[in-house]
Amino acid sequence: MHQSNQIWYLMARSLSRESTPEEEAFLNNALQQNSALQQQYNILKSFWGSEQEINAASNIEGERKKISRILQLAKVQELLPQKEEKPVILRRILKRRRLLIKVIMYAGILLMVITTAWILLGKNDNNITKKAAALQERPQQIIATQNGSRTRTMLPDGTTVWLNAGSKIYFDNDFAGATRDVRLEGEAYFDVVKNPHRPFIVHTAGIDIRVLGTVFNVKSYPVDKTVETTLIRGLVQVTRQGYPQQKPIFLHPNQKLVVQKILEVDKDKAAEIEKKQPIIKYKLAQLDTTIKESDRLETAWVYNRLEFRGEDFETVAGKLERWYNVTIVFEDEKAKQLTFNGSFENETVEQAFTALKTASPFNFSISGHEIFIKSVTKVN
Amino acid sequence: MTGNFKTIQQRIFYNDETALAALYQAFYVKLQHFAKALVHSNEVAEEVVEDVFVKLWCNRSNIVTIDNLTVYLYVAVKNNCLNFISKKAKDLIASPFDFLDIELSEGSPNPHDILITAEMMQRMQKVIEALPPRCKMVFKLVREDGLKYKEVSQILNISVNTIDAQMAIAVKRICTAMGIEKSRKELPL
Repeated sequence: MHQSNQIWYLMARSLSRESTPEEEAFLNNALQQNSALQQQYNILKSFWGSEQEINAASNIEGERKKISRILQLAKVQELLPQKEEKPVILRRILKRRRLLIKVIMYAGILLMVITTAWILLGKNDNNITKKAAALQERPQQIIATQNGSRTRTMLPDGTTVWLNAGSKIYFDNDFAGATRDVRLEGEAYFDVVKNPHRPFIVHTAGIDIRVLGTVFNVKSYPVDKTVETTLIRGLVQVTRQGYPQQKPIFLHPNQKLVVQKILEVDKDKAAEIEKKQPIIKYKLAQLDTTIKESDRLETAWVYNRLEFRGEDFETVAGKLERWYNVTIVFEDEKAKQLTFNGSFENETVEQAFTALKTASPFNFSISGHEIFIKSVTKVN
Repeated sequence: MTGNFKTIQQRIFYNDETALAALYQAFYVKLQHFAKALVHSNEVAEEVVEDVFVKLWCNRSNIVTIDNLTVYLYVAVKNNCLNFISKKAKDLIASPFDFLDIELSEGSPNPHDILITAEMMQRMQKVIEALPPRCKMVFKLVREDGLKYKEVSQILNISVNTIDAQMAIAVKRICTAMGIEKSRKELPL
């Protein structure tokens, strides 16, 4: 420490309250002899102290939410280990004895896990998939909507379900098992009654959506190539059926998850690819939280609104078909490429199509429940 | 801001959720800033801090074994950030902050204090922004977060002597920039 720089060391220590009494005394002495420096020091001292106020300015509401989320996440973590670690630990034991010793140190839980794992050996690819399959065999409650209608219903546990047009849900009559299982084809909006002892699981198109008291929307029509899950409140965990080793995806409020479906045809090929590169193909997006829930695209239907944004006519037609219970026939390919933004609340079919036509020109004719679409020809 | 957290530790051990809340409240802003300096993203920083608290709560049965909760939290955040950046980044822990572009907290003290003019404020901020990365990080942790030299040395894995030196450099630069010159008797660095 050079003599000339000593003053800086002392000032720094004093400001940070790290200096000894001797150092303080020495500093005071030096500063008394140099008024410029003394002023300097005073300024810095002010500057130092005021930082406390900034950190104090807080966002109470936001903090509360964060903290409850942390606690929820912690609960989820605590609930999961049993199901997740079984296959992993089993493999490790077979491969590496060293780990076995370490593992046995956590005796209690592990012993139980190992025994259960041995018993379910081979069958335990995924408890949840088994349940999904079982669900299809037992006698069930089915709630279905046709095209053109939406419905709202309640499950035996008090969970409210809104079903969009052309959708079906299947669940056990008594709904009283260790988990609450529902199978979905189509689109539904769930407001799940919280019950941490009985997780609520939605099975659809190869994925399982596991929730703990939340509000969320699932879009999974058989014709769709993807499954979309939008979380409004709470927390969900999404896993791919049959791939227990893949890490689950957690959804936080205002996030939307789009997962690629594996089509039946591709299953074998896909399984091979995924053995080498086990990644769920998905996209996780953050939704704009400044938009009110009732104004959002993903859940517009719950508020009786049909919405589309920048979607091509073919996709829009799919939505229109279900919404109005009509069949739409495209007479040429060009018309399918038109894109639309729009939102319909109370319009009739004709009104809707007229509106669409003003946005992007095309010709249409309605005959009963059928609508024929033709693009505008230039000769016109 | 490194008071005694022993009571909070105990309360957490006994499953008191309000203690976790209090701890979070006390630290999250600083930890997020710290994390952001490393990962450059608000979302990732928030997530890292959240993960650290989730893990803390999950392992609350071991919490009383932690000697210094402050250091633990910062180190946990640091490690999570480095994991996020890359596995290889762990090797850089020896000189961790030379490569990083560090932003200090955006809130600035109220310049309407008698002693500090707005112009002086600006000059100081400018100097602080221009500090070399490691110096800047040390200065931030000591001044903004109120950590002790010893804690900073544990978190950043550098010696207390180095911290002394870095702080001295920072103070010197700020004073020099404020335009008030030292008396001629003293020699420049």
